[in-house]
Amino acid sequence: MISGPFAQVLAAGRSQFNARVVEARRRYPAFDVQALADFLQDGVAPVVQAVSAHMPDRLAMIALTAYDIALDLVGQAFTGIGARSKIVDRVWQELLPAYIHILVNAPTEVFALLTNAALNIEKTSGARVDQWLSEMKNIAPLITTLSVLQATGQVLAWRAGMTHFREGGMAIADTLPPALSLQMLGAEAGSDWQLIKKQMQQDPWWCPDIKQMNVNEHGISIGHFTGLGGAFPAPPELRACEYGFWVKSADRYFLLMADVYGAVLHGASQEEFEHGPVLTGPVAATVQGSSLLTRRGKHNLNLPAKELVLTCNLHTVAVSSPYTYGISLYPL
Amino acid sequence: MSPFNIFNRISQAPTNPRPVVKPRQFDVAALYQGPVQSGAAAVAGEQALDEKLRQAYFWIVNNAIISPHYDIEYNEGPSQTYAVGDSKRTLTLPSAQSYSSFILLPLLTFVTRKKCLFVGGPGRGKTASAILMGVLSGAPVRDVRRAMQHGHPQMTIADLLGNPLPSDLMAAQNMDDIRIAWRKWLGMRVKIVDEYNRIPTRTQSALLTVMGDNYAEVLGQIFECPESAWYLTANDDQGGGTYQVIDALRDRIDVTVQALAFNPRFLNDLLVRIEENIRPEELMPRELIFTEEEVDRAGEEIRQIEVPPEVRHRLEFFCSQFELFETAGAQFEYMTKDTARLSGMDWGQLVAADNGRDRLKDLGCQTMNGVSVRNLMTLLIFAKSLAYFRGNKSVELDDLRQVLPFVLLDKLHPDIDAPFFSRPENAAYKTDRLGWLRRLFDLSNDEFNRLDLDRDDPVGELAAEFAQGLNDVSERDTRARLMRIERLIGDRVKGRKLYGHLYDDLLKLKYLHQRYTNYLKWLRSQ
Repeated sequence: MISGPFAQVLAAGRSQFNARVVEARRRYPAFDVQALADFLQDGVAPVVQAVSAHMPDRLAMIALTAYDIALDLVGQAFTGIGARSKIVDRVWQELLPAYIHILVNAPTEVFALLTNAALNIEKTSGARVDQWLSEMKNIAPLITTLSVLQATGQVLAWRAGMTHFREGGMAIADTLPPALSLQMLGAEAGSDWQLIKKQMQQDPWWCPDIKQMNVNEHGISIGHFTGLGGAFPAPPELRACEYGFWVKSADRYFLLMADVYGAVLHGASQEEFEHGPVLTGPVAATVQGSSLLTRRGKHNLNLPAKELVLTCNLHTVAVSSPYTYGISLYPL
Repeated sequence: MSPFNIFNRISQAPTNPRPVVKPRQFDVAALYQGPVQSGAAAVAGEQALDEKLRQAYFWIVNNAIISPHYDIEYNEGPSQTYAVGDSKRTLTLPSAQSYSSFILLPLLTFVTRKKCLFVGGPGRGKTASAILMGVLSGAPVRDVRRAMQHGHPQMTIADLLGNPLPSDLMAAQNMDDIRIAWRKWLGMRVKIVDEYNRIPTRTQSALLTVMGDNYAEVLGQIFECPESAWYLTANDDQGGGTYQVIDALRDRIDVTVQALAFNPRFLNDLLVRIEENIRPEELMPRELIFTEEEVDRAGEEIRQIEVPPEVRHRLEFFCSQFELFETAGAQFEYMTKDTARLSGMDWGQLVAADNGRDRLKDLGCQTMNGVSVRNLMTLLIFAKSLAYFRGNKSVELDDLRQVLPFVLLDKLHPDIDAPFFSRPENAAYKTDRLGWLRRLFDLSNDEFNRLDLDRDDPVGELAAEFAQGLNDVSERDTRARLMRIERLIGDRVKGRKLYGHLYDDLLKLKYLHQRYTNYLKWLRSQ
């Protein structure tokens, strides 16, 4: 049951809000009115409640904005019983109240930034939306403007496994106050940001966060069989390229990118796999028995040595085999 | 834009994504793109016009037209098909993006500024679609409606074009002094004539001048009309209105599209539209409006679309099937259906005299006329525009195959008494002219493949050699080429029946022979 200030706003503009629902039902034939009611109560009301406490004179305008966005989200089944996930509900319940101090001045932008970002991270295979949500929430007290919020979201998205944002994330981190960048990347307070940046640029498998380093030092596994929810309908073939690796699996093509924060697969075309720019050079790793040897150390491969394929780019070796649908990535 | 703005949303995704090898760029700004509009979205760069055209198509299909029929089918790889009913008609589920002719052809007409005829029973959306095209040109809905000409049996030339000012009529000392109050529709970039087959014949002639020559004339005064797209509607295309449509007017129409029946499965959408009092034409997003300059530019880009030789050869081969009428002329050049038609002789008698050929196999026997130059030009421009719409740089055979029936629908007339139509499997083609034309093109392509003309086309080789020019061609070479032409003609006519494509090949060889003969004479005079 919606109560308090939000209930008053809804009651005051009842006919207007009802008309908007009618429009939404026309646009989205499967519009779920119950899902809207639930989302207004569980997602919008906490935000409106927080606004009411922070800046009551902005309450009506923000409630109206939130209501319109809620209609859209329900119409597109991003929330409710038929929703693909609960991520939108979590953003509205957990994250938006933490950013009320920015939201009151730019409601549409903040609603859109955080909701869209969470959806994008969640749908990226290999990215960790829980980590992003948690880190965004923790850092909220340090964020004071919309532009810093925007930059922070992008850097933390990279840190949460959106590896393709590496270059952009690094450039954006460079524009933020060094203390904030250091904190986001898990460096010790007082470290030299320029030094850290230089080291990260030289080695994609290095980061100032020792815990994170340890996680991926032992390799990342990606891909797997489509029948079990993976991306590959057949054991993959790889070609090294400047971005990572072009991957072919049956008639599907991908671009695989990896760094210390994780690995992601993007769609690619046959043209890119066959004619895209490739890197050729010596294989900087060897296989001994069931182990892979790189200059960083030894990794146990849980694969038959027969027909094992090592594909290397400048920083990463990808291990594939006709006997597996997955790809294992190790730092060189 | 408000995050919730009914009918004004346009797909942000490319409407026809195509794989290209280009450097990968990952913009961190993409993190914030999604279902919720921030209102601070970056201003998009200049949109490609073909993309805008597709946006317009998909907006109309998704928002304005309730039950689109996807009858322009494209496939990438195998498609799922089903044989349905006693007649075993094929229902195809296309494996690539396919389109609704009822929307696509009018849209291509708009962007090429051609003339489109909507046919079909009353209440099927013919006029509504024409109005949408008018709105697409940027004219307010009210103006589009007011400028629409409604054909009726009492329609005069003055109704259609305008009136002389009464005061000038009284005071004028000569004709030049009479000013005309021209009708506003003449200046519109989209012209709509509703039920054109109800216009009296004399007024049709005035309409013909506007349609054909793009000007209007009343009492010696001229109004020059802007380049415009035309939309005409008729309850049937056989001239079955109040007045017979004059042939010249029918011939000016470039494409004919049929308004198909409403599928009652979409009744709920219709109900919502009634209850909410929605008129899609009043809700067209401004981003979809094409300015005059944009239509000019799109037209220019369409003309740049390439028609590859392999596609052009198939069109040449198709068109060459139909004009030959062996018994109609005593002289070789006059053995055409046009000669037969101009003679006024009974068609049945003439056909009965035309024997000796396999009338079932000869595609030319299925028609009563050939393909005119105007039809060919229209066909090429619509094939180019369809390729442009699909985001391609050159015309594919499928593009040609898809537009051909709509261009030739009212132009290539079937001879229903031909043996082809008497076969049970072809009976439906007597009524389904679009299907027949598509089948005709397929049969022509089959024959083209059988003759292996893609690889073995000596006439084409001779023509290509001639197209390189006659500069520095010696007398010896010229004689050699003449000999080759003569040998080829001798080879072609040896013991063969005369079919349309052979007839055109022989005429082409005669042309080449004549050009070389003239050149040889000139060489010898030097």
